[in-house]
Amino acid sequence: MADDGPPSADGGLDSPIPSPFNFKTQVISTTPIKSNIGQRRGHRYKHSSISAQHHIFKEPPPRPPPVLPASLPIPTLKEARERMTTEQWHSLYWSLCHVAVAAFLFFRSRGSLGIMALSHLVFFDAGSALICVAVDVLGNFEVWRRSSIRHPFGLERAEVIAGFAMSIFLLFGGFDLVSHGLKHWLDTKGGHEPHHDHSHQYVPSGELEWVACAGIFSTLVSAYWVKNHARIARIMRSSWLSILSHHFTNVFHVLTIFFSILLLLLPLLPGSPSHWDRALCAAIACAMFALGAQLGAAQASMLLMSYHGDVSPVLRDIEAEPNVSRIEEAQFWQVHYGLCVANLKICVARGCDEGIISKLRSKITSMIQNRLGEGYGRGSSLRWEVTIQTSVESN
Amino acid sequence: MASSYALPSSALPHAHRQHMHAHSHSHPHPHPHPHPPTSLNALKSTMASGGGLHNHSQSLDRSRHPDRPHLGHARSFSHENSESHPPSRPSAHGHTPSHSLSHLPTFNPNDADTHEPKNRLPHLPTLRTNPTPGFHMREKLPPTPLSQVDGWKTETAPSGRELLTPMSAASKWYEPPDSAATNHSHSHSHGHGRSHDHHHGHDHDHDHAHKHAHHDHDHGNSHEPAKISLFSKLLLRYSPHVPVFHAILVEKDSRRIFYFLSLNFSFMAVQAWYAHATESIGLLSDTVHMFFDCFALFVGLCASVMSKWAPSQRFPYGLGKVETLSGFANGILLMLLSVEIIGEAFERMAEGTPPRRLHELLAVSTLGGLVNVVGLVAFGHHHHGHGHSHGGDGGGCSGSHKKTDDHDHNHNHDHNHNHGHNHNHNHGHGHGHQNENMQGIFLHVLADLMGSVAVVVSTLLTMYTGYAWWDAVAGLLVSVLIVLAAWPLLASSARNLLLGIPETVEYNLRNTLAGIAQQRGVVGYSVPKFWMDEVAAAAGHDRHHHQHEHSHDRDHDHDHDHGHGHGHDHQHEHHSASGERLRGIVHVVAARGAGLDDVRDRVRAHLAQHGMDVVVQVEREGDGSCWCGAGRLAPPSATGLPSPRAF
Repeated sequence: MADDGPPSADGGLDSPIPSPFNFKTQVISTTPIKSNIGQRRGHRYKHSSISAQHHIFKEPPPRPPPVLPASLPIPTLKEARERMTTEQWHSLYWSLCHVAVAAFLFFRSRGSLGIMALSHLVFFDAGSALICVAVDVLGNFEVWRRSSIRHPFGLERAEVIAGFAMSIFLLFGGFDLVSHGLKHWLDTKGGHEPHHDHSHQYVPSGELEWVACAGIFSTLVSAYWVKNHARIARIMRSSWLSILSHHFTNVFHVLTIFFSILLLLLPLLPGSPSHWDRALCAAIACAMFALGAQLGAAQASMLLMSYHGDVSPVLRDIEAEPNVSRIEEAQFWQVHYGLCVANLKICVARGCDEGIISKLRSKITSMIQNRLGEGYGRGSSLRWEVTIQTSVESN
Repeated sequence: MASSYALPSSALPHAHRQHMHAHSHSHPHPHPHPHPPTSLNALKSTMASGGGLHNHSQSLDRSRHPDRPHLGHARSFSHENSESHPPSRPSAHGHTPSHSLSHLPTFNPNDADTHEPKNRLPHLPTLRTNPTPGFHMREKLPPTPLSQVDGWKTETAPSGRELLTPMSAASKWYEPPDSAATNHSHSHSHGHGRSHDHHHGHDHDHDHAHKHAHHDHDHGNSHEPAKISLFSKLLLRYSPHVPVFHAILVEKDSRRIFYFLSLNFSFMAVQAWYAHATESIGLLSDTVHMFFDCFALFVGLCASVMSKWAPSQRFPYGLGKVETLSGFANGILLMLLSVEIIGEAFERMAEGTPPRRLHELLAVSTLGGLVNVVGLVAFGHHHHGHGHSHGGDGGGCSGSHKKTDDHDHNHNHDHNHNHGHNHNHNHGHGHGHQNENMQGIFLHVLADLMGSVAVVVSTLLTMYTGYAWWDAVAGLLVSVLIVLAAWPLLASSARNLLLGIPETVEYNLRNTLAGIAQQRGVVGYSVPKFWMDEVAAAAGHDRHHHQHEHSHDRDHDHDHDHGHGHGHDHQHEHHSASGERLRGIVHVVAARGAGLDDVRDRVRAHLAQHGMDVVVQVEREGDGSCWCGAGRLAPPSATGLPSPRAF
């Protein structure tokens, strides 16, 4: 950390090279002067007028404090690679394997729309796993979390942006499936010769098992190892899907596994398997549309600097506080998966002293954190950074 | 609030800054101009109360341009506006009138170039009657008229409790005055420009404007806008009964998207019908593709309309980012499309099946390409496209144009400085920067066009050479081109969504931040977090349009300024503009002797000076209750240590 931090005060304390001089310049420059002032001048009375004149030396002109780091470098690919732990390497390798599985499914999908649809889902899972690994790796760096002037909330929002891109991928994939299905359907229905000769003939059964098992296996490994979708699932929790995925960690894993199993069972179903195959494709496409739309909406609201919940009851309670006379402005918005920001401008009643205001502030802060923190019982809470500008009622 | 500004020492410079251009200009000008007494009076009046400025400029204008009825007209409005605002807050005060005011002229040229001033009149009452005295959180943020519609936080002053009632969605949706209001908001900076102009030598301006108008007119004519503007004028007249439709048509961007969307959609419908009739797969897949395009256009249209919505409880900073988001989505879509094209190309190569039904393919892709060419001209026109509405202006009445143009000039000025390199960038590839939505749509259309051209070329080559793989090669080429074209859009929109601060702004911001600690009574500060104000950006983006329409004029004015040797004025704008659009939070630690309110006001005034609207939480030294942890540390060292948690 020391190398990319600013040359700050504590940078000198833990400097690796033991220097022969152990001086700390600050100590010399500030403290002794202050204590010496009275004695050196030879004034007997500290409060005499001459001493008072000189008290200007006691307080040096305030220097701008380096509250924020000068700049936090965004790691290059090479630096990121150097900082990766072995565990991160392993999950990266696995994620690539997951992508390979998805590609395998995709190239096996010649005969079956269902497999192609499933491959889209697996692609989504794999992409999410890759994003998780990337987030993990970037988390090694300070710039990811720490705010600087350039990036006031760190880079953590990048994950939301990537997630938004993935949800667009879901929508696109759903659309792609629909158009593929349409083409297939026309191919078989239209009088002209079908250019895929296997289009009316289902995939050989041995391959089907392979494909389905690969899908299930990769999903499970990713779910328990890389823990993809974990943060995405958190923002989806408040939706109707929570009923669906109550017992499972999140919707996406359930979806992939469910459809993989369905794919396994397809040959057992009565009637022509190709019909079922198309139905499966349609179902997956619908699921992708629904999930993609919902996920996209949730992430878009974050990117639009909005908070998805209803804050008006909290505001009403804040207003009901005896010392709050009114709220002038209130802005609640979510920065990324783990952080929300609330900015309030409140007017306090006349006659409130600073102690009351301070207490009021912490009360409001904890109220917001408790009511909107969403974390109860799950340990994955939403942190609220509350800023309250107070002013005393003027009339 | 009022008390803080009443402090003589801080209020005066502050007022200057806020009134910005107007004030700053009025200072230097008295000397070169033949009306020193009036301007001096104005100076005094501005010192006395923020509202004086406008009066002044008005009188000047009248004296100078008695022959221009339109000018006088508009000016009187402005006058009333400014008066109607209570002078409690100089900054807000100075701005609002100018917004609303300037809006009126610019609004029309922008949209249809067709509205007469009388048409604008109906909007005015809403502006004037607007209460909104205390609100104005940002100086440039203009949603004054909107406050009556739905901003719960906007209505702070009159009755406290009402503000917080959440707005019903219905009220938020759309009302024609609402849209008008937003428009007003955009143009606010024009107001400054206007006063500015007046101060300038009037002959100069006049001539320039004239020339330019004509210029642009020609320019506009060269494209196909005249018909459109007539058409849209007609539509605009009948549209207010259908609010959504009206909202789409009122804005230039959305109108263009809408027209192109209807064109695309009708083409798609015809194609679908034809495909159905002939049972042709090639046609059908192209129809599906068209549907996709239509969807992307529709998203862009929604974004374009939504971005004008006012801030609400749900979206405290407005929906200005919607356009960026839609641009980003469009970029991602393009990437995915290109990946798909590559996949299909490889598939085609592997299979080696030659494309069939070449003639049909040729016809379809040619037609689709033609549609896209139309779209490209429309949006490309937008890109470098000052001409269109401006041309209308030129035709209309020169006096008022001149005025608007000058506004624009000022704007541009701001803009340039503001965005620094960004802006230049945009100019580089044609306006795009601010409006990522339009850029995304443009790219999408461009990609489609490239696809059509590639198909046509490859089909022809296949027909003549007999090789089957032309198609795949063309697909690969096009996908690479699409990726290359979409990458800058993706990068810039992602940076925006990340809430990053552009470099030029960052530089000024550091200085401003350093200044916080030098305010009296401030021991230190922590968790300073600032982000670009998208509400202002939305307004700025509209400004942008204006500019673009008049950009020639802008240059001229610019020169003009220089001729006058106006370095000072420059700086001013630069200053206020550079910070204009920042919002954020900061926690300030007050020294033991200092009053909390005093410190808060000082810091806020300091930041407002640099155009930042910041929520300042003032903590007492030693009070460590806040999460920012600033108060917990021993005071003198606290400021020096990096330990105040910055996240």
